[in-house]
Amino acid sequence: MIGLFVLIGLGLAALAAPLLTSYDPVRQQLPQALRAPSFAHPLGTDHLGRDLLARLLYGGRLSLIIGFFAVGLGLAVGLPLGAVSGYYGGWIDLLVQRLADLLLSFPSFLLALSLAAMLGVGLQNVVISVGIIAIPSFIRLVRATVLSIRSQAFVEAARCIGVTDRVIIFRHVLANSMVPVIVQASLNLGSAILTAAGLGFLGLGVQPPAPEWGSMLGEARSYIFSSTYLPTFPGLAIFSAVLAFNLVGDGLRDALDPRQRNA
Amino acid sequence: MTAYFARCVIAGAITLLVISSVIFLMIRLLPGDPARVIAGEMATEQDVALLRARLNLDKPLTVQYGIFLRELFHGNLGTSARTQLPVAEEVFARLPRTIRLAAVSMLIATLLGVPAGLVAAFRRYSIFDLLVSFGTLCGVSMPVYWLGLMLIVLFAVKLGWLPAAGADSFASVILPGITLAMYSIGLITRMTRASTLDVLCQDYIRTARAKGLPGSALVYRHVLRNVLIPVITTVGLQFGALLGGAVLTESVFGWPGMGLLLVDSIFSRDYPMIQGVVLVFSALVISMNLLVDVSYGYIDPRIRYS
Repeated sequence: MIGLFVLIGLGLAALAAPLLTSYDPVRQQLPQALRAPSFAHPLGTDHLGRDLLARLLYGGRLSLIIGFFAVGLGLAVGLPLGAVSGYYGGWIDLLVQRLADLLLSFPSFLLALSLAAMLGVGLQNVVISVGIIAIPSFIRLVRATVLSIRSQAFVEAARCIGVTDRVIIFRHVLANSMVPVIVQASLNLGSAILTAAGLGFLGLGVQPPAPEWGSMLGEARSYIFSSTYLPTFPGLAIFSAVLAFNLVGDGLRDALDPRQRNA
Repeated sequence: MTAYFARCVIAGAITLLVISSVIFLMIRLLPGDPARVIAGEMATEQDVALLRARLNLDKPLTVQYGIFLRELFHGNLGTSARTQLPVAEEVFARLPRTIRLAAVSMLIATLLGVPAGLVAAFRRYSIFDLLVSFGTLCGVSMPVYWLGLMLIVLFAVKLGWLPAAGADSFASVILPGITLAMYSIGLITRMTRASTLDVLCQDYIRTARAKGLPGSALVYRHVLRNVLIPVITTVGLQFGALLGGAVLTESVFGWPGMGLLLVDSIFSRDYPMIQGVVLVFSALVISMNLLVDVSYGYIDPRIRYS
């Protein structure tokens, strides 16, 4: 619940970025470089004189965009694949399952790194890499739901009256799997932001001067001894965003899970 | 048991083959000409053509694949485009350091996580439990690289207790080890707690209590063994995740392991090296998963017959 509020707060802050700050997050103002937090610059300035608060706010937009598009990609590919795989079974199922297991067993950041090495840097490629990582979890989830309802009476009844497979899949399967999918999506959003920022930290994600939180952290590495606030705040931002998503995901799972445990 | 073991090994070998094939394809199907990229922008057309011939990139894809597999069986992972030294040499020189880091982190995570999870489950809804729940949530949400930087600032700079970078002394593994372990501590603690809660409401526990078994014997004889089954799986699988996180941790702390090698080679476009490192990483992950599968079959006999 708290997570929801934090999230909404973050979201609003990111969206309203231009209203909350009059500073340009990208334009360099070298004379004002590396100022400690003050009244004029609540979080200080970075090594190129840009206001940190402004960069964080605009960066929030960037991170949220990456997160939503990446998870969106995962959903768009994962849901249909999982549904088809579970419904039809046979060799399609085997193939998709092996693929999903392969992707899942591989450490996700290594995978993202390898994809970044292949595709190159930039916003688009980050979204693609992180999206591909999100796919297998959705495949598994949807497949589990499909398998559980496939043998039920109403599916058989639907087929009897001639409802096409596609409609069955869409209407019944997806409707039933919505709940776990939403929970998983929320958790995946958190790790998507973490992974994207990790790529940014290494310099392989969204490129400067774009105010991406991870690359801000990476750039601040040389200044950890002199201007400690510089790496502190972007990291704090990443942390709170991911925490918020995880809180929401956990909260949703606890609230919507019909199985209550009593010890 | 042997049949199960054989099945696991074969599955692992096939997975390794598939992954190496994917890596092989990835490099070849890159946009742009790999030979040109490796040769660099200063190279002449002749140099690029020579390089292409030397790397067998002018032959048909199937022939290239055959050569790739043959070289693989001989343990030849190619030559680094940057240093002209054998890839295998560099990778296996750095491998022990990465494994050392991962092992230390695994140890820290398990030694802290399992007891914490157990205690939290036994004292459900207590302050300790709440703290643990919140702490683990923070642990899995925290960016590894940020934690590393913050720890460096705190312990190496402000307090001067521990070294900030490099792998020279025994103490230099502490900060990176803790940083890398953070995510795993969170995960393992949660897993242990959930598993313990599950076990505690089982009938056989109730029976044992009804028979008058005292608390400590109960824990050691019945609870612990059953709790540890899924926990061991998680710990084993976490090793793979640790390898991924090791890349970032090694970056932050300048730890000269395989992760740092990977990042450096990505920046210098050293494709043979990238290929080699990813291959070795995959082999590590697959063998660890294999170990987990086999030990799981050994601990829980029900698995062997499925």
